[in-house]
Amino acid sequence: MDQRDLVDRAKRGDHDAFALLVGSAIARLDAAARLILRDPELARDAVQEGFLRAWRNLPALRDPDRFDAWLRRLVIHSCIDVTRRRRRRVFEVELTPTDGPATGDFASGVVDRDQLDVALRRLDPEWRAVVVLHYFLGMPLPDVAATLGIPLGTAKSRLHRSLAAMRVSIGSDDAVSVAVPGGQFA
Amino acid sequence: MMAIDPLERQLPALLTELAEPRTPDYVDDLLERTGQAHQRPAWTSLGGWLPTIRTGRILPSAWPVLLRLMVVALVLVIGGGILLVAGSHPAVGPAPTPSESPAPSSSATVPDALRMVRPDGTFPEVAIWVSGPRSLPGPGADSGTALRFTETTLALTRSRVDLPLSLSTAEGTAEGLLRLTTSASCGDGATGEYRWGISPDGRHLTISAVADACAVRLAAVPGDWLRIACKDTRQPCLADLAAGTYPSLNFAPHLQTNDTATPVYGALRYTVPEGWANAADLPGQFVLVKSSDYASYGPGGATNGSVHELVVASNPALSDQTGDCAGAPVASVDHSVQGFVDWLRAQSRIESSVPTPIEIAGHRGQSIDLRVAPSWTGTCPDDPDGTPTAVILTPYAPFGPVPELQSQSTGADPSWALVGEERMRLILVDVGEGDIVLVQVVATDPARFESLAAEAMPIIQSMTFD
Repeated sequence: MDQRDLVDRAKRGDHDAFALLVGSAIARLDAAARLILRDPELARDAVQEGFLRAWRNLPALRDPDRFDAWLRRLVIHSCIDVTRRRRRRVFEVELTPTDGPATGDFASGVVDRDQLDVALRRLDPEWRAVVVLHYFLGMPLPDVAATLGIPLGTAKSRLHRSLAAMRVSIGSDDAVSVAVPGGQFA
Repeated sequence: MMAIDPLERQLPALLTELAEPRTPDYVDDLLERTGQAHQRPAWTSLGGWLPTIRTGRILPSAWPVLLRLMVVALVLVIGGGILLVAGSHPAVGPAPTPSESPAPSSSATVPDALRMVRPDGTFPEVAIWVSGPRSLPGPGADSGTALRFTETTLALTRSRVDLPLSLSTAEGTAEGLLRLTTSASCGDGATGEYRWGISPDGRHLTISAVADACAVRLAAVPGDWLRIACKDTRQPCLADLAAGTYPSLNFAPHLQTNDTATPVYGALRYTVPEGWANAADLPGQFVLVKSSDYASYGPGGATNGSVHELVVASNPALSDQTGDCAGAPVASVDHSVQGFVDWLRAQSRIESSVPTPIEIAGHRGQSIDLRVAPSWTGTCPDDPDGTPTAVILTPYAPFGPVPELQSQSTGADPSWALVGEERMRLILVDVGEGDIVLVQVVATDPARFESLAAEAMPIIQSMTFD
């Protein structure tokens, strides 16, 4: 049975079919959520909320072939919702520079996961989402923009500035003065 | 040749390493939650409920279990204190023509016909028959009455199952005879015997008393009953209808936002020709569809995105468009038919016809045809198709706290919207007491709108509101 059949069955209330759809999608979406939220418990909540929304609203999905994109969108929006509910403080720090690395030199080196972890945590979750969707889920930027409900130009800008911030962070562990608008400390 | 940024080159692998993709350990918990959550029926939307619930409250997974346990406990505990008050048995729907009662399937169980045996020999978990209010003690005097058969029991309730009246063991004892033995209320062991018959089409049940020592049962069980036959067997609706005049089972025209969703029996009456089905009957919303469309419905409503329905809703609120499409009730508009029509006509996202006066059972209103304005490009975040969508209303939450429906409220108020090429006729009727009933004819396929509206208008004109 192909995915379209499963989606059709799940739309009609077949929970077993939905369970199969969950099984095939949840590992990657859970990973994406953990990358965006940098908190496994929050990720668990967001993924569950996204899948619950998918189950409840599945009858309204018009095109079964869009199930994957729709489900991804629901989970990512759940992640964003979680971060918005939890946001405690907002940083408004000018990002300088925005064109390439400012400090350090990792061009010929290897970035380790700890460095990346630190760099990701310094990004606003909504910016982090752009990075994760593009580089982890492999989505083209127009799809990233559509998933997040933002203009393509905004997605490009966020990605560009996120990479710049990450370069700075990775290149200089003490570059704590560099943050991005709306940043949240995890 | 453009150089590849080393960070970008490493990011996919680094992110994969950092994320450590694995099957989460909460899959079973998630599936338990979704298994207990109702899907949002597509029929509750103009083109399907928009999947726009952004702040839906996730109920603890134990809630449905607790609800059932509470209901069972109430059934078992309350009955003993209930006293008889003289009963009356209003007629329901077209007069039934009882046929010979089928023989009981076994002497120890409820007869198959009462349990609504299906052609394949299976039964719904609970077979529900409904009738009008009974003069019995307790709240909910305007609510209907329900007989809920399982294989061996009969629970007598109002439309709300949290108001149980009696619980009996039930068995067919002879052809057309049903013996009820009290297990709660009237004292243990009180027995009664009833004669029953079902119309040839299986839609009407008639019960008369032979004798009963239980006064509560004797007051409530005899009478004419309509079969609940929704695609979702937990929902109250009549499904396919024979031509005739029917009462609504739960719809409450005067229900207002924030009211508890108390069902009212017979507050809407309507006449249909052959070929229509009742797809939903909730305190805040009532739905009729063509039987040919209903044939393809699933438990959650339309399954193919094709929605062609006649919807009646009580006291909806106008809604501004919001970025998340959850809608925002418009508080500044006068709660009147004219106020609503003026507001609708002023919205740039909607293209509307010139409103025309209409009168339904003496209630005055206005009719206006709507569609998404060609210039409108707003969409909803959860819509995978990015279809232009114009939010216009926030209805009374149809999944409100009506235990009979055994639905779980999300705590959120979904919005209603026009989507894409959909067409809609919206009729607003002043039903008195400051209340507005909204009647809609909606067609996701614009080519079907005019014919659907032409068929629906005589039904709409037949409606009465109490």
